[in-house]
Amino acid sequence: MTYGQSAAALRDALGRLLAVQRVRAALDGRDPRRELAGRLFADGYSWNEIERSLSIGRELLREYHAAFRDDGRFAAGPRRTASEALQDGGFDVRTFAERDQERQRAMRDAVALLVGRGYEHQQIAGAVAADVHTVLRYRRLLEAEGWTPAVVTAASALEEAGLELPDRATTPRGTERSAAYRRLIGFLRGRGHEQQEVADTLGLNVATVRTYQRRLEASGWTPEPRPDPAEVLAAHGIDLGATSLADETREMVTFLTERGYIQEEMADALGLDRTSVAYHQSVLRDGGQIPPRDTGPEVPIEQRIANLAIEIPDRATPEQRIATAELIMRYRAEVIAYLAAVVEQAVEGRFATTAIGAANPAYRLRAALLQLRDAEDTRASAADLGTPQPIRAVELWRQAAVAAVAGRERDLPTSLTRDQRAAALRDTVTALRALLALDERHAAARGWQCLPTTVGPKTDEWALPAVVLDAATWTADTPTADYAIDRLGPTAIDRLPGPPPVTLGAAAAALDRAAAHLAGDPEPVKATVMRWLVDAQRRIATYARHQALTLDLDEVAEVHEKRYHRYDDIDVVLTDVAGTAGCESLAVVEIAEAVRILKHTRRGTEPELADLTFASQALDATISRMLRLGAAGYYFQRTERLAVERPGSSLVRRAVAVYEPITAENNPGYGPAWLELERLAAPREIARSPESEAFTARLDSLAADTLAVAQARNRALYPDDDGHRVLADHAAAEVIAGIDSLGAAGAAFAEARARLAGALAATNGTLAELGNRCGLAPGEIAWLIEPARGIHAETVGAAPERGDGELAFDGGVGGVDQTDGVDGRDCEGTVTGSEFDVVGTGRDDQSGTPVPVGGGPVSTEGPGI
Amino acid sequence: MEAYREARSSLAALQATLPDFSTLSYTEVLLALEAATDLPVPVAVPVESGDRARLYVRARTAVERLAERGERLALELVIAGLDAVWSDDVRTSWAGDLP
Repeated sequence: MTYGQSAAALRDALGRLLAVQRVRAALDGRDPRRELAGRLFADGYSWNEIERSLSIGRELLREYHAAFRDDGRFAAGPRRTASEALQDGGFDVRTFAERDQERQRAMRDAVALLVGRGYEHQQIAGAVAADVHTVLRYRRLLEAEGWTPAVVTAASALEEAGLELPDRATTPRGTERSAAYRRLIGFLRGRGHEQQEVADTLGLNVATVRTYQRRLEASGWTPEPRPDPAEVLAAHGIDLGATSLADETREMVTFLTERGYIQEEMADALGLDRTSVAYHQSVLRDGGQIPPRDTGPEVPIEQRIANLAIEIPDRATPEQRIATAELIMRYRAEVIAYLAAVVEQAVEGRFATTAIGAANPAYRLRAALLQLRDAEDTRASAADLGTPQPIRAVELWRQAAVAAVAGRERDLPTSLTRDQRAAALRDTVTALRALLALDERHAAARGWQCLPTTVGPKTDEWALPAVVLDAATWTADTPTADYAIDRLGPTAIDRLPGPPPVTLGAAAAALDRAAAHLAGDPEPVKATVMRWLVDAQRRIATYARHQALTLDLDEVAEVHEKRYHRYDDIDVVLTDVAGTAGCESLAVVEIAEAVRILKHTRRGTEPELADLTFASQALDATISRMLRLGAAGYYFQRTERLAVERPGSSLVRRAVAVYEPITAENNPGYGPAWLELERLAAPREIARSPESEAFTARLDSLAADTLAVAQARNRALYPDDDGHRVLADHAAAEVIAGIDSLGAAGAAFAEARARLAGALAATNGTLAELGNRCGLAPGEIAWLIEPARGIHAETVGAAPERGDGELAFDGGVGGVDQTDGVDGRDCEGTVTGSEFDVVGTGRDDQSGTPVPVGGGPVSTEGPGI
Repeated sequence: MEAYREARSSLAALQATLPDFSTLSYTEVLLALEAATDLPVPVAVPVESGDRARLYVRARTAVERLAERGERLALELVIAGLDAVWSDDVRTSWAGDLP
């Protein structure tokens, strides 16, 4: 991963954490217990039971209940208030008090009326649907208020009906008087008057009245039925309804209970106390109108929960909560450590004085983060980081910590430009703001320790939020922040769990890591490790060469072939090298891995092979450096000396191993071996820079100047001979460009001269003739072959014809000898003396240029032919 | 985009309800919001600024909608900033100034 990837992962985790905290209420809705509670409600389990089995508080359960009803999951449909529900059910939605008052008024009227009508209390009670005692209570209340029943007495009833009492004095005892009494008693009894009252009114004995009545009944008389008190009430416009207030209330309670309303809501809607509602419910449960409270469905609730199979996170004990808070704080410590590492890279920490530094917001941020990091004493362990957490928020914290650890240990770039530092600082400030916000939201959690409110050195303390705010403002003011930093960091392929893939790329990555390990080691590896490394490199070179040939990359194959030979040489050289000093490197593991992978790799791709080659060459460089350093005190040459010992009585000569510093004498191949290897290492690519380009341009201009001067000279030399001028220009350019050199040109000249002399000898002609044939002036030819003549003059007479083998260490001279051997007798007398003088003097004067040779033909023509 | 417009409009309206020379600033929240998104900045439309609580809820909801798909951390921090300003606003009972 790169810096950008781990930083993005951290940002993402922190952002999700903030979101989780923000929508915690909504998350509660996603709590599986909510669903479960709703199902249990629908199944008819009681509140207590659900509360106990799910171990959630009544408040939360109430919310779940309401939410569940809001979703329309209960029979009553979407949530309506209890009053609305009652209205829908056709109930009187006035409060209980109102209904009670009205009912009392009606009761009083009814009782007063009926009592006045002389109905018996029992009858009244039946008519008003109340108890006899209630009727009596009302009557007593009425009487206490001064009401007197307008009682219809028997006398007044007789008077109303226009009936008269028989006069005892005038009416004799007998049938007539009996008939009159019988009629009166029948009338009064039919009106409901008591026997006593009838007796009093008629001036009879009660027994007599009873006798009359019995006789009346015996004769088939029945009293005229009185009107039903309910009819009387209806006639007077008093409506008490068929049911009592309590019954009405209980109907409402039943109605609402069946629809899942809770006691508080019912109490609100009915205008009652909650306990009254509870009382009504208990009465109803006793009467069987609603299902009993604690006897829900047949299935035990535990079984039902198990059947529903909804995963519920266990409720945490306080100890578990504290443990969770501590875990989160360990994760937080990791994040802080990462942020501190970033600011250590991104913020300059050196200031002349602390006061100057403290004026800089970035410095304050750096100091604050370093202090926070040092204050944390516990970090997340590998188990903390590696264990997925069941709680979402904790899991997000873990992800943040993992991203932080990855970022700190692996992805943090070491060298940053100024603009990249600004970008890194901006990321840091954002993450720290998130930490502060989360700190605030976790503050109420059990066992949570907030970040300190003040930071800074002892002398002056800064408020942490203010530091963060200042830094945020400060970083917001740097518009040049360079987010190319996101791409920085190691680009090695992430190791997946399990064995690495058998590809050339994996091998290249392993070698890359090995090269990084090895280059980071401060001293050479031990001699044994070095021998192992060299051997492994040799094998890797074989594999790589094979891969290159498979891919038809002959150049690469050649490179690896050379590497193979170099390592082979080194292996030989190291045969007797030993030494215990030095370090052991993790690179061994990686290289072993690479060898293992390469052994099984089928066919790679060209980029992978290029990676492998680069990694190998990096290793070559490091190994050659180590070999060079190792000769100075790490590696020693093992030689055997014969030593004389005297173990017993006799002298014994025995071979003893001696370790000496490696020198050119005892190990002549050592130095050349690592030198060759170093030469093989990848040439450094020089980055294009303005400086190097300017230098190149300067070199080019210098070369051009030199060439121009040379061309001017050539033009002066060959003013009318274009062919030679072009040839001279070409030679000059070649010399200037470094392709040709003066020495090579001289050698070529000597060869040309020899060829000319040979041609002259072979044709056996004169100089003029030769000149005509080959386009040269005779003087030039004479000058050209002059040294041959000199040699001839001294030696040719004595030289044997077969002696050219010994003398011919130079082509020119050899040619001359041949010439002499063939036709020396003809030429020597005629040409030699004068030619030698003329050319000799002319050559000295003219300083080697062929121009004055033009004077030569004048002198040579005379003695010439 | 619509959410962005609504958030800006509501925040601007909230700022307009503050008295002059107020210590609190919804404008800073607005600027933070602009920094947190790389969307083109829409024109704020006039909204009814009578009910401040409703404006706050509208602004917060709009930013939350943006956070669903935008850069999460930055927008969450914008929400946190808005909450901070709002709570100060409520705490000072709309005097617009910290005691």
